[in-house]
Amino acid sequence: MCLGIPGQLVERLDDGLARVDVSGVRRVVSVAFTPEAQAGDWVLIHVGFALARIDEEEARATLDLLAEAIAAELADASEPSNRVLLGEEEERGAGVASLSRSPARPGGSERRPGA
Amino acid sequence: MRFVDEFRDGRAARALAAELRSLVEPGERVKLMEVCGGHTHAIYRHGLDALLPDEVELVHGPGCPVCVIPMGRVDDAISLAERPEVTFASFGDMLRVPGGRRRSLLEAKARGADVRTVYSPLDALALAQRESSRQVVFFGVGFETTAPATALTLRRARALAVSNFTVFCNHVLIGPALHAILDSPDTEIDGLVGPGHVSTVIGTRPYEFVCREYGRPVVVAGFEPTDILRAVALLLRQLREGRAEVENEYGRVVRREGNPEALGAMREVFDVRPDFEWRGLGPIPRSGLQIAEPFAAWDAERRFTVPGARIEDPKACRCGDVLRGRAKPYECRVFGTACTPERPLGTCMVSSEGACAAYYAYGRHRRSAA
Repeated sequence: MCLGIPGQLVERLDDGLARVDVSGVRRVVSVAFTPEAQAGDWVLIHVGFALARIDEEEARATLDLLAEAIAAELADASEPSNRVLLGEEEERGAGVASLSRSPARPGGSERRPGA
Repeated sequence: MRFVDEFRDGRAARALAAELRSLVEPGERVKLMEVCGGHTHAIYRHGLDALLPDEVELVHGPGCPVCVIPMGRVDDAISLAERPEVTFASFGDMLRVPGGRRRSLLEAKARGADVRTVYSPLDALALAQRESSRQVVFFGVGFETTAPATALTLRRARALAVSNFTVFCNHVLIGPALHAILDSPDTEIDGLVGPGHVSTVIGTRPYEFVCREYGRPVVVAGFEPTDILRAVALLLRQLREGRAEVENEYGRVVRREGNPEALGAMREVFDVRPDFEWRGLGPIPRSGLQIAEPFAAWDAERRFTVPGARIEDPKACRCGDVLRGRAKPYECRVFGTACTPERPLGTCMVSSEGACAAYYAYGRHRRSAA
């Protein structure tokens, strides 16, 4: 029920409405709850309303943390028990940094005090 | 960035799964409740349960508005829909919810009631404008995620003076439901995965009582696999370090103060009911919303009379136990036999976000497969 779908704002219309692009499908939604959203911004859409502007900076920060987790895991991969879970060598090698535009920070394993 | 695929990265999920294993002591038991039905669905759809350490058990919470609507209110909706002058507009997932004697809105429609599926309450209002000879009643259901949409639609109905539009209001609040669950003597939950989209509206502050009064950590999470795994990791780390705080894993859409415009619309249009019945949980004080006096003309319960009967849940159905985390769906006698998504007995089987429907759809039919 509380399903929210990301869409990109194409243009603001009259009457608190805006045209959004959701995976190539365009529809009109209310932006009454996201008055700050402008064309090009991503918004979270729920039952015809843009409920929140998606913060790209925050999203990237999360992706950076994920990239760190992967990097930390790769560092541990020499441990035989981890090999099966980590899957094939090629897959592991494939661009950690591709997850987000920011490269994985070095020393990511510091985040894992329990490890 | 499309804000979906990036958070479904298998390598990140595997790395997080390894991190989770490092955060539990062998043999300990940790029970975490994912409050939101959207999380329940995502967990089974993506098979995240298989990535969790054996020590961690997920308990499915009451955060599915379809699942918690009591049968009496469904019967009230059907009685409205069956009035000859009424066009009853509802979200699609409410249509198969059984009321008393297993009757649903879909069956009422089959018998001739004018029931329409809408995607947005604004579509229901547009329907009323288009068909001005009909009394259009919108079935308002949902948590704080959806209530602002209904509120804004009512504001608009008043501004445009649309007199043939009303709302049958069943909106509910997540905070009082969490209180009720945490107060229940047989609930043993160590931490909560907080609902993501409700929190875009209410923010993270309303969960602080869970930490303060019950000493349990809360992590508000998004709906992609790595969001949920990361939330579990943050909860386990808090438990390990003896902390009980509200953390926000879903910072890309959730702010601490929530959405002031949406909250303002809710405050203007709704009042809190003294109490409201929840399926499986019974009446919970101050947990439901009703339409406030200035919008009384758009309140279906004031314009029409509804039976308002209280109907006991069917005896065979254990939705109540499932909603409180006391039983797994496959422990219910009618799960997958008398109760299936095609012909549900209990609400948890109706909504795709219900725990029973998720277990049924993704093959968790037995304990061994769960």
